[in-house]
Amino acid sequence: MNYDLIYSHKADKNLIIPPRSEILRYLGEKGEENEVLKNLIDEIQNMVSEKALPTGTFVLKKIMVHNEKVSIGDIFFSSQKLAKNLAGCHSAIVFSLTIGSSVDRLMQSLVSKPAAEFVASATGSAFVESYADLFNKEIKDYFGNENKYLRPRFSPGYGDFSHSAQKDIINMTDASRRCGIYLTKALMLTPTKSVTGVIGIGATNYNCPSYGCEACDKTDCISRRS
Amino acid sequence: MNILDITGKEMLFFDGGMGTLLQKRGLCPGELPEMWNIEKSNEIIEIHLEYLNAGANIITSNTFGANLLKFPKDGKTSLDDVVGAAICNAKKAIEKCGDKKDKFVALDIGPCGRLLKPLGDMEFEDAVSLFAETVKAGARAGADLILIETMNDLYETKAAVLAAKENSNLPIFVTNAYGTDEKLMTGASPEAVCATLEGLGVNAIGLNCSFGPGQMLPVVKRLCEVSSLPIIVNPNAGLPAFKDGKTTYDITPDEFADIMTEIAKCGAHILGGCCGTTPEYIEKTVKKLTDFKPKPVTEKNISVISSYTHAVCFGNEPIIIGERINPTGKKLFKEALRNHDIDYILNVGLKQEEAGAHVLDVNVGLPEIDEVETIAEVVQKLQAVTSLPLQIDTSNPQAMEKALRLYNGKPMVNSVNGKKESMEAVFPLVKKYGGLVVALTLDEDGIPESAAGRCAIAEKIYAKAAEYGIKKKDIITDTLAMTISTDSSAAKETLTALETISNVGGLTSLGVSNISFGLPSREFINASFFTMALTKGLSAAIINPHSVEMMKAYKSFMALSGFDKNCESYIEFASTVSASQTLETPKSANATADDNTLKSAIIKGLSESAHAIAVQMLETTDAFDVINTEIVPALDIVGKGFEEKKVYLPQLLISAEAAKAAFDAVKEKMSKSGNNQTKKCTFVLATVHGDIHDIGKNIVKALLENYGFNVVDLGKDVAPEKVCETALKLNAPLVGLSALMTTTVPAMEETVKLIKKALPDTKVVVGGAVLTEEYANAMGADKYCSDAMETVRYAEEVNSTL
Repeated sequence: MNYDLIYSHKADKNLIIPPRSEILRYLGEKGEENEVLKNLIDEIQNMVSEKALPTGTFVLKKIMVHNEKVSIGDIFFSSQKLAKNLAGCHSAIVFSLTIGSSVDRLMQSLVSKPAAEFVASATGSAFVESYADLFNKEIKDYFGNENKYLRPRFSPGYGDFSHSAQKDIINMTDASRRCGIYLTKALMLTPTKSVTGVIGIGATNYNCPSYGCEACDKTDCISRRS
Repeated sequence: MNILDITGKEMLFFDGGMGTLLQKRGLCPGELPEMWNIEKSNEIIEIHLEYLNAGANIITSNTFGANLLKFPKDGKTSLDDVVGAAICNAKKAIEKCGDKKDKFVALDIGPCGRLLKPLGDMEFEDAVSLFAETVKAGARAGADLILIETMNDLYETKAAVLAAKENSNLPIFVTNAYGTDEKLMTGASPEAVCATLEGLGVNAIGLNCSFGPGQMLPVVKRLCEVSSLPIIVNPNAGLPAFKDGKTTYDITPDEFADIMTEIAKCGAHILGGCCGTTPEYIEKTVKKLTDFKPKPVTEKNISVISSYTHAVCFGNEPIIIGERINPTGKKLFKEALRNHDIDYILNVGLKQEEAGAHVLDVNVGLPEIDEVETIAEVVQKLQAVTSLPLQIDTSNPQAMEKALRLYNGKPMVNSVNGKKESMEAVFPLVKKYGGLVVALTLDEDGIPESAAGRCAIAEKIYAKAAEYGIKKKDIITDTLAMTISTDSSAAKETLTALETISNVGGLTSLGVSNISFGLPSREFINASFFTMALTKGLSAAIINPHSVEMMKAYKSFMALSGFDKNCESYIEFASTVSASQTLETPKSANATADDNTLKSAIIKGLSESAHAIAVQMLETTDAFDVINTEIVPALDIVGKGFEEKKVYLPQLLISAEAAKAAFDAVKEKMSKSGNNQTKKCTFVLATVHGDIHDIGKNIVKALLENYGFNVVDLGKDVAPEKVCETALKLNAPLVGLSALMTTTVPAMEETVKLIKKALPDTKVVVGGAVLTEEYANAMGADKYCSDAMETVRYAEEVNSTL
């Protein structure tokens, strides 16, 4: 893989099956799944899979980490948590992934069925995270041969890694043009079921705990992974 | 010389990529390439010159990202200067190359970098204004044509095309970026793109970017099938991709040229390159095609409309246009319009889609409401929830223009007639925005009784349309069904006129149900008349898709005429009809006889049962008793279960939906008896400005409605002023705001302050993922709620003190 060359990523969506437990987590883990809810989730999950079009772009960048700052290519990010995640790395994969706008359209079309809309949103979230997991695994397999170790992926919004970094990541990965990912004025990703982030590559197998929920300070969040 | 004199008649060649060449010459990552037009103009001129020498006829100005977002009015460098310099550089290159014959400068316009509503946060008209500035600057500087390129959203493409049309007289070429699924990122098929852009009157269409030429072939073929315009193909030099852990790489200039030759043979007229292509790619392609004559551009006789996703063709299988979005004779619909209950209208649309409509007619005309604003809002909101194309139905030219402008795709237009005034009002709009227009066979002298008279008006309308450049294929004639209750030959004349027009290749449409006005059991007559019209060649019918009789007639006709392969559609339909007599609510598999009390139906979340039981109960029980002894207690049980963490939130919502179905039955009953006193106080709800995530707000809304609150939902991304204005106007005792991310919390704070200033007594309740009680207190909100049930409890508390 060459530095600074932007690669496209495609995935077979049939390989992306979000775990039921993750969908339920996004629905607010409470109570027992009754028959009606079970059927609804099954039905919506099929619809989301049908509509989803997992695509992404990524780029391999040289990085430098010191104290609370990280430079990726020519751009500096101030984030203690990101610096901790990337400590010891000299390069990183910067990526933007989405499951496409059709899933947003699906959610909007369910406007008169709030339960279905909510389940579609939760399933979409779980789906794009599963896609990110799959992407992560492919990257890991690729570099695994070269005796390099990957850090857990780290996204803007985790800990003190500012959402504004999404702008730089989208630019670095040419994600607007290549896979239709845009930012709104308020730094929200569209399509809404999209993920941007950084995967550090280090020479040692350093076990980094800062990942997803575990990196977040909001300990009372209803969606927090236990 | 105008480029249109030769476009489509001989091969023309665009240049190739700019980005890679700029990087080779030292453009740094993060640097704006457009600045080089001014700072390093010689480098730009040299690149243009290389392409001209390679054989390109059309060179694109270095203005891909030149718009007001990147070069704002108060910035250091003006947009005018950047675009002016870019066009000037391109012209200088042509001067330098010596051979000026057949060389043109295209003003290059790329996507603005933000996604439009309803998927993103940018308003359509803001996008038009944004592109307008770039167009004006390019036209002033003397561009020969405008190239709108790499657009991966149909709506944004339309915004750019309108800006180009309204601010210049230059030829407009458009290329879109398709994905591997052969659609634009936001869902449009090549056929939908083609219909929309031809409707808007652009001069050439095609595709660019995304991938290499080989992968473009399928889309090129599809465009060649349907397009009456010259086709442009500007592929990448392939892209480095990573699939299944393997990397695939670029294609060479020779391979590129080979495939481009294939593409030319398929029927493309203008070829060039995009990302990764260099003068070498263009040179090799041009050389291979030196003596090649392109396929002539032919007029395709296809009558077509489109939504933002797909095209619907007329003239083959008959098309069903759902008539239910129309207040005429509908008390609840009128009430919804007066109360600005847009959700009600959206539901009417969604139900017709489920029932099998192909197109939705949209009529929101009511004397006491602002039709222009209402139709604009309804069209945009309908297009957020349904992918069906719409038929814009209004006699108000301002409303028609606004709806046509904001419509995403190529709509049907209902209607024009043979009156001079009507044609002079409607045809310019259809010419400008595109559309398939319904032509009513009446004029200043009224409706001719004879078929011959109606056909004469149809001919007159065709002729007048042609003067505006509107083709016969974009006119669909309604020969006007008139009731047989007053004139027994009425059906015969209508059908004869229909057949005559159909026989000479004209499209026809009917508002079928008018035929039986004044008769009992109208559906019997309607359905038979519908079948008769279909056999005479009817292209489209405006009907109620929930009418079993009409759908029976339609499905049977389709099966009998050979349109329904293996009678699949008929068999599917027949299975639903034998199960029930109405099509409105297909029976859910969950509805069983065990759920015999309303309470248990709601708790289990069985909407159909809940509605049916409620209807039954209301025969003998007072409406308030139904609410107070069955609906509310059932909701409370599920609500408590949720609060005690025994029930999932979606289960609560499913029960809420079942409760809503029961409430609907109550409402129907009450509206019949003129009593409408079920509501608690008004609750204004909004997701704050800048925030496009409204799922939480929608959940709160669903529950509040079920607890009887009069919820006024302003939607998402709502300006603080709008929330405040609405609360003020309705004197709402409660306002609820949601925000997902820290970036939109300031907008929430601003909204709270504004409301508190204008309405000190109104209680403001806030919620959202990043909020906390401390945050809520700090911004001056009255209450922070962590979930939807808590909001309901708080609202009940406030309501009880009023």
